[in-house]
Amino acid sequence: MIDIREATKNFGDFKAVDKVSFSVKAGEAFAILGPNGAGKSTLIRCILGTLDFEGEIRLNNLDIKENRKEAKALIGYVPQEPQFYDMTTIEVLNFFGSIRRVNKERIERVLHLVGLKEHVFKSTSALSGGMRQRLSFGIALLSDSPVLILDEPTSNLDAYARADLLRLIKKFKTEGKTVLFSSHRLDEVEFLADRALVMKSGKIILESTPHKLGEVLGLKSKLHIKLPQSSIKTALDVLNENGFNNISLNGNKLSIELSHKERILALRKLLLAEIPVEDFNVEEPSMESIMEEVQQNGL
Amino acid sequence: MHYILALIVVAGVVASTTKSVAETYTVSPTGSINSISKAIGLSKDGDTVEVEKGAYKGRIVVDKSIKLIGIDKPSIDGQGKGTVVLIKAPKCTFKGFLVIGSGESLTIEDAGIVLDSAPDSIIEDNKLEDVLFGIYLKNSRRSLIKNNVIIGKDLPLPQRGDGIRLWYSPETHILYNHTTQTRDLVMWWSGNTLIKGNKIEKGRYGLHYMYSNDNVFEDNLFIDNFVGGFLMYSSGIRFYHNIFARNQGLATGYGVGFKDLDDVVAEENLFIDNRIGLYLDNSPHLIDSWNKIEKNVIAFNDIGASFMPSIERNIIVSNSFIDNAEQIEVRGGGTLSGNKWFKENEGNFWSDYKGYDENNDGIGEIPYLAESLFESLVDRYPNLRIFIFSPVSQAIELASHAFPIFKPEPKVTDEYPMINSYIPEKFKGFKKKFSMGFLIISTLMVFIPLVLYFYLVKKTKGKVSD
Amino acid sequence: MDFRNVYILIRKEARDSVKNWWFVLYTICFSALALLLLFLASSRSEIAGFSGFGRTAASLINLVLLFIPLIALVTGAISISNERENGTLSYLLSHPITKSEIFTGKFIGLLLSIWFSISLGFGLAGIAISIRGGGGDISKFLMTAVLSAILAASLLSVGFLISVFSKKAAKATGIAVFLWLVFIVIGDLGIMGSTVAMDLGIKQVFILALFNPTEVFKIASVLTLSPRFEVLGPVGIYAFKTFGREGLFYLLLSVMALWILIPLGYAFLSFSVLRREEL
Repeated sequence: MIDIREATKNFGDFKAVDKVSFSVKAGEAFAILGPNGAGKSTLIRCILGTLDFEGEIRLNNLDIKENRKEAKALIGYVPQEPQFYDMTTIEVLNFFGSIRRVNKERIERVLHLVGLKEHVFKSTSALSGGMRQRLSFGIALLSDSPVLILDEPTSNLDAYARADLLRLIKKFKTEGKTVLFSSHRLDEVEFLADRALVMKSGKIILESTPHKLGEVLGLKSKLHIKLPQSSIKTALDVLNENGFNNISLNGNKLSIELSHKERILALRKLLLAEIPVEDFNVEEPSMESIMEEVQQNGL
Repeated sequence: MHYILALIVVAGVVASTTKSVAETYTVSPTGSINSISKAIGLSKDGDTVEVEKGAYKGRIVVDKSIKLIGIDKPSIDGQGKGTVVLIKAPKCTFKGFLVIGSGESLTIEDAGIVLDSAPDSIIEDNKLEDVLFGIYLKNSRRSLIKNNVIIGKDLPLPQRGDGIRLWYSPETHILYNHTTQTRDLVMWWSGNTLIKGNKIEKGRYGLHYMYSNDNVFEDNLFIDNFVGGFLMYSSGIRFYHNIFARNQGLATGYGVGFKDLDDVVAEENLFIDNRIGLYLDNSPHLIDSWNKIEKNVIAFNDIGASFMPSIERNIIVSNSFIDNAEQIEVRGGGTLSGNKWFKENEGNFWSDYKGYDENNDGIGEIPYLAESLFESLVDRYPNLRIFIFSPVSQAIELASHAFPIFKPEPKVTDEYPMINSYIPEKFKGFKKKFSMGFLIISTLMVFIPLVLYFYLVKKTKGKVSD
Repeated sequence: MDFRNVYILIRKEARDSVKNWWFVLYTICFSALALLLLFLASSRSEIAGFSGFGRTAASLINLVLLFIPLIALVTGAISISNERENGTLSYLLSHPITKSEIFTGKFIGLLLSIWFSISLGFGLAGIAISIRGGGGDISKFLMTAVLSAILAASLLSVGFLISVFSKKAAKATGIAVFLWLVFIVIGDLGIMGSTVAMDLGIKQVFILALFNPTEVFKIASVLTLSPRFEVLGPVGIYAFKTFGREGLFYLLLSVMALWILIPLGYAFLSFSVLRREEL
């Protein structure tokens, strides 16, 4: 559905996207993972045809440079921070609906889908972040286009709105839409994507399934446990017995380096050994540390 | 010898008796006398020739003091050659004819009617069409030219002749005539004339005095000429209640122009919508002479009054200067302080006066100063007039108020500016024309955008049904 | 180019301008001033059945010269820069609509809005004139309105040119206001200064004046309103004699047309045909 060949975008001397090539199959959910400034948004804008670039991008076999408009008609796009005109919700939907040539029934259907029916006469500036994102999602769905492109769709949302939106995206994915989205959160990628790639400084440094990605990148999760001083030695023994070796001690706090999936296991072992855990938390790996890891060790 | 003398006396008496019996000849196309010239040939001084309706071809010469009376406007057609009617005897009357088709030679001055050495004649109720000159008086004093209509040939201006021309014909009265499409109404060396109630339009100089003193003109309308009245090298001209309107010749376009004019009195005239209302060049030119310009209305001209440099000794009082794009121009810059702009506590009305009248005596408490920086720049650099009405001209005015160092010396200082304009009775009481078309179109201009607008906007606003 | 998209944009812009507080205020001011002016002036606009190219016409021209260039320049300057600055342009472009359609729709929509307000102002003034019994020649009045509309179009296209090259709306507005000053005061002041200092001839002054669209508008409306051209002095007479009344009128119209086509064409090309790095 989406074929990208050596897409390159320079801003002056700065290479925002550097010879990126990949393909997304129809019905597939594809994630672009990377820290801020990796070139994710630039790449997405290239695919949308709102930025000029070198190389080739095809959508459903249409060269987007030649068939910009037809290609764009295939895409529903949800930007990172949607910017609407100073209109009411329904006016915004009507405006984009008329560009997409959809009828009133479709607009009502979309309103229903994204749950904005009660807010139709509210000005878009009065909508909350979550509602704005849902409106922009609704606009992306207007013409029922086969491809959904989302640029960090959850980055400005609270936990509840985020989960809400992710469910909605998942729903459309299962209904057969091709989904391409960017993110800097591993959990989102694991939740949604069939395949993912990691970008850094405009380059693809890794392309894989989210499962593998989790394995490779999960190494860096850290479990911090607070224990009474008396239990520390016992705890260390228990952990060593179970094969957790990367442990550091800081006062009465233990920090265990482990993979993403071993977090609960480690905790459970300690609890089974009746060690009184006073408090714990999991430190997820930062995108930057993942990048370092990948670059040093490869896959 | 006595016999002979007696015979001569008797013969003389007989002769004068036959002469004193005035006879009337009738010319008609079908009658026994079917040409005007034939009737003139038959007639003697004091006779009357009546001409019945008909088209009479050929020029005529009147060499006897007779009355030529047209009945039902018979026409005399010069057939495009020379002068149509030439009157060479005094005390003639020429009345009620249609005179057409003079020649087109400016050098031999082809005309509709020429009075040559025909003093005390009367030219009345005629219509002249397709003539080069209209009525031309040479050495014909005390004549009366009344109620004639003169329509000149449709020629470019340099090839036209004068509508009415006086040459050494003083004391002539020119009353209630209408000339159009001619050159000038001009008098050369003809003093003590009266010109009243004429309408002079579409000519070069509506009225033109050359070396003609002590003349009066009043109640005339000079409209759509190059210059309404160009008065030159004369003295003692008085004029009242004339309208000079829309005289807009290129480079001239004066309502009235004075050139070397002394002892003028101009009162209660209206100078309106000309390029320049009043133009003064070297007038008065005699050191002991004063011109009086009083109670005139000078309105809606590009320039109200234009003065050549160092014009002095004009008394310009009680006039109303209304909405002229430039009220006073001094060509080349400078001031007009050698003229009187007020007397006995009364000056002129200036529509751009910004003062006030505290004691309600009709006179403003602060002087009117014509001291526009833009105008004085334009007076000195005429090319800058292209920027008139542009915001830059106001910006320059503002600057000169903010920085008085830029303020020019006032062209005119009127110590007693009038608060209200004075419009003579004669010019009042014209009803404004109400234009229904104007109202309808203006209303459409308001409503069409509104309707279109609501149409455009309404469609964007969606309604969501439940 | 799909004219349905253009039409959608036209409607949006027309609609936005009523919601734009400044635009509404401007329309009200323009109309009110025109009304006031004509009421004041028509009280003595005729004497003995004659009226002239009086202060009324001059003030009307002045009003148009001050107001219309300002609103047209600023509206144009904001049009694209504002959308670019707050991201709506980029979002709009992710939809199946081309830049040419957006440009065309925006220009026509804003031009219509300005034309509407000009028509409103002139119409109200015209009603006032006819009720007061003045007026006279409706065709001259209409012609002045049409000339004002052309002036608006030319300055709107200059505004669009500013807009296309500006990333920030505030900067674009600043440039627009500066250009407005140049057009109505500074430029003319420069020509006047040069005329005085360098003793420029009639021809030079005329050619220099032609470079200013507001000056061209003024000359054309004087030509329309006044039967005589000498009101503009020797330069006016020169122009009149050289080109004739109609010739001059068409010359002025073509200059104004160039002032529409060149900035607009350049803006259109740089915005929608020559692809620029970023939006």
